[in-house]
Amino acid sequence: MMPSARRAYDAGLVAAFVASALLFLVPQFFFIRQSLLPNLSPGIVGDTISLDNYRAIVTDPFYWGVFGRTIALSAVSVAAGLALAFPTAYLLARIGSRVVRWLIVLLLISSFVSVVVKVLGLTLLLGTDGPVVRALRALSFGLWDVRLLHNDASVAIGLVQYTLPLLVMILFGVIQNVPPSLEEAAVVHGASDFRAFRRVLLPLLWPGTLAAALIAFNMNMGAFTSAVLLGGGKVLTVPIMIQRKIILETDYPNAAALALLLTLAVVVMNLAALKMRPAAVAATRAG
Amino acid sequence: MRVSTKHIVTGTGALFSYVFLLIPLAIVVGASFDDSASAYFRFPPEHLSLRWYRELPAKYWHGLGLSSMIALAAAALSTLLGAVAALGIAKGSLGRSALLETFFRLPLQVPFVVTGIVFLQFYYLLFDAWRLPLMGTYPGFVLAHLFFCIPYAAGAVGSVITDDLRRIENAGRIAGATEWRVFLRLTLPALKPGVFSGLFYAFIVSFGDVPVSVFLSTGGAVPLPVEIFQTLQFDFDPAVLSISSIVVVLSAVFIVLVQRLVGLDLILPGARR
Amino acid sequence: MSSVTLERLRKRYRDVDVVKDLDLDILEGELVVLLGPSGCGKTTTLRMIAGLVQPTSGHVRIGGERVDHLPARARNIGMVFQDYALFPNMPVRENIAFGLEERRAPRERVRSRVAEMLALTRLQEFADRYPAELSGGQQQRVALARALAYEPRVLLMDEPLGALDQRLREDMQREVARIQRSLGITTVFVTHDQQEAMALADRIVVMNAGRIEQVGRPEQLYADPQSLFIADFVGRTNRLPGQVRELANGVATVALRSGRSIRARAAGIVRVGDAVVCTIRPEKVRLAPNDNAGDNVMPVTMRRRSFMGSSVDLAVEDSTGAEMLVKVAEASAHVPAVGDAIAVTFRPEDCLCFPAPAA
Repeated sequence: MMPSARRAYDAGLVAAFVASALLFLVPQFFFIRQSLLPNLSPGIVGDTISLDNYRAIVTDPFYWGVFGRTIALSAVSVAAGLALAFPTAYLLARIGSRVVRWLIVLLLISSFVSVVVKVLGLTLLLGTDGPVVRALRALSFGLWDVRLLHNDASVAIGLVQYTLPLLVMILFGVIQNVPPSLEEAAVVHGASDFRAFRRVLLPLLWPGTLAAALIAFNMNMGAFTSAVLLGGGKVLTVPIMIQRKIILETDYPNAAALALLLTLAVVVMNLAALKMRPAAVAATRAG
Repeated sequence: MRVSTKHIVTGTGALFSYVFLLIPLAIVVGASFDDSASAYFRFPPEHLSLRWYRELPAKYWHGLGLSSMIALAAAALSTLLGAVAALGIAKGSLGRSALLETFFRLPLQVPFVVTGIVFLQFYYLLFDAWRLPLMGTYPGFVLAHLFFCIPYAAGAVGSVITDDLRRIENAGRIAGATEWRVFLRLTLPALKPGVFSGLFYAFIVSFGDVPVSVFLSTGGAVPLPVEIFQTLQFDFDPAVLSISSIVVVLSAVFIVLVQRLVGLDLILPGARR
Repeated sequence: MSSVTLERLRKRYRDVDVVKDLDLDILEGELVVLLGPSGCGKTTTLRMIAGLVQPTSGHVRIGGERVDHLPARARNIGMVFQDYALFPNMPVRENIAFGLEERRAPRERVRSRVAEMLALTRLQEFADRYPAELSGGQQQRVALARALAYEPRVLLMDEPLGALDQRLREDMQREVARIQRSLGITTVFVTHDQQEAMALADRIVVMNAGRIEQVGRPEQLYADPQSLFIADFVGRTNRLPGQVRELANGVATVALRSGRSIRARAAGIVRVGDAVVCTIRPEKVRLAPNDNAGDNVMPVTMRRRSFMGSSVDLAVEDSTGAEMLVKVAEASAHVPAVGDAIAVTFRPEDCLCFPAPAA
């Protein structure tokens, strides 16, 4: 490449970098600063910089509970999403028929539609007047009058609705990268389908799966649509607390502190997961 | 075909996934034709009517329009920036630096809700300091959406800048093309799949966003998903069913159009059929 | 070791019969090559033997028993794939051990068999390397070792040498032949390279458009092709189109487009007046001493000459501009210069006359 061309690319990169840096970092800087200021009364923020807000949150067992719940819900939803996404992505990747095109179209439509609409549908489906509850009531002659909404499970279902299409699409790409001949070789040489999956396919899919899981996890940690609408106030996650602090209590500094701690939790879990990569690959080698 | 355990497992899993994903949408569309205005949702619908389509409040149409415009701008700008960044990383003097790639992916580490309040308080600050109004404004939404759209776009474009492309460009140089012609006739076309998929996914994420937009909305400017969210949270209105159904149908039409006109390869590299 | 029998095997995809009514008997210990152009169905046939593809109708027998209902893993076969399909997450040693481990062989046996296979394919020093670190030829040998480790009764090979360069390919052909002979394992080898087929096969099965055109030993197919397709596909040959003027005792007199007449052995059903194509192998064509009017003498002009090491290829042109290839031994008498007017000749019994394909 001619030096002039390289300089052009460099210039573009610099421009993009500067614009992105301004967008990414400037608001964050002010945000972090605000989290270090005390909240004097709703809407009034003090001047003294301290870690008091953080100390208050970190020493409060209530917040530990909320953080724990948020992480647990996110993790469980990712696991459930992966359990569903794997067979679906495998089917899409390995079936050689024209039907695949339409299946993918359906998947794309599902990811296009905002999660609020899906949650709306879930509320209709699982609500006290919805078909499921009514059917259960009818089947049990009025004994089973259950509440399917406003609990952890319904929030988890909402989170899976949120992330499943993306998980399928990422895994679809990853599985496509594994030549079918590898699976055929495993089978011809005597492995059962399950053994072929475990010894040959899974180790090769692991890095991609981990990446997909992290993306889904991050999305879940920051989502509150499902938690608010399906949790009905009974399921408290960090995003909900943040929203309340802003909307109800107008407590910007503490909301900021919570938000930063949430981000920190996400970053830590991402880094921890990345450490899992080489260990996991080695473990599946031995298996 | 002999049916094996593998077929049963993948078939059932896939079937369940699709049913799981599509039933809520089907219910929304179905319930939108129900006549009753009760606060309790009824499905299956008891009296069929188009009432909630005829009586759609204007705010939903405004919301749809606003969401589309925001998504268009966010998708276009983020893809432009992301493409320039991806090209610069792959072809600039610094070489494919992992640090730079991580930098452009940073926003993905920030939970959406955090992004929402970050920009909320940032816009207040700007208003206090310089009388610059960004809350509830079109540029305000676009700017915040850019934050989380850029990583998608940069990643999508970056993934199509491969070694094969470099070989093709070299072949062009040897054949006598100038750098500009190489870029125009060889590089740009090769970027198409990445650009398309970047645009597509950025649009999706922006259009459907709630956690960020909810903090930036004011009375007059509310994107559609936020409008629906607020209706569900505070004062239920059956019209939300019909506008959601419209969105589902529009999405379906859009995707099928894209598939027909452009093919899925461009937005999902790897969907070869 | 087992025999392999294909009975009226048929495979249909959508509306196309990719393999049509195939009947074939492969004997124990034989190395049979399925040879044909791309799309002729040879790979599909191999995959039906393996159990990776289900036949639409017909049966596959291994060792006399039907295996159609058995999944691939239960057929006790070994297979080498076109892209080797080595497991990238395992070192060579584990790749080779894979089949034995899946059959739950005791650890001692696994260890000793792996060592044997490494020795057989001369890969001892690569035992702990990963496939990505090996060259194409080495990967191919690992694939072979892996397929043989658990002593299958049949070995299937799907164009395994396609990705190798010429020299390595020939070396590997010798390796494969050596190993196959020493183990005596029934082998079905798929390729589109007729040279490879002739070098390796005990018998060649020439396939075209889903059917078997001819089965026979390499020498048989070379000297006695039963159709124009086989004459053209197996080994190089010259094609001389023309029309039959006379026909007596299986010998046809054919008028070529240049106006000359030649005599050839009639192969297939030809009648007087038919359009035909005569074939003559390049090495059966000699330079005629002078332009005498003898049997099958054709005046031509020298166009090009290519030195091939042990022989020289001469490209000559007749009066209509049609080209012929003549192969002469390197040590023979002087080679004409480009542009010279010379004459070539060949014996009628070396020349075959086939019905021309429908236009």
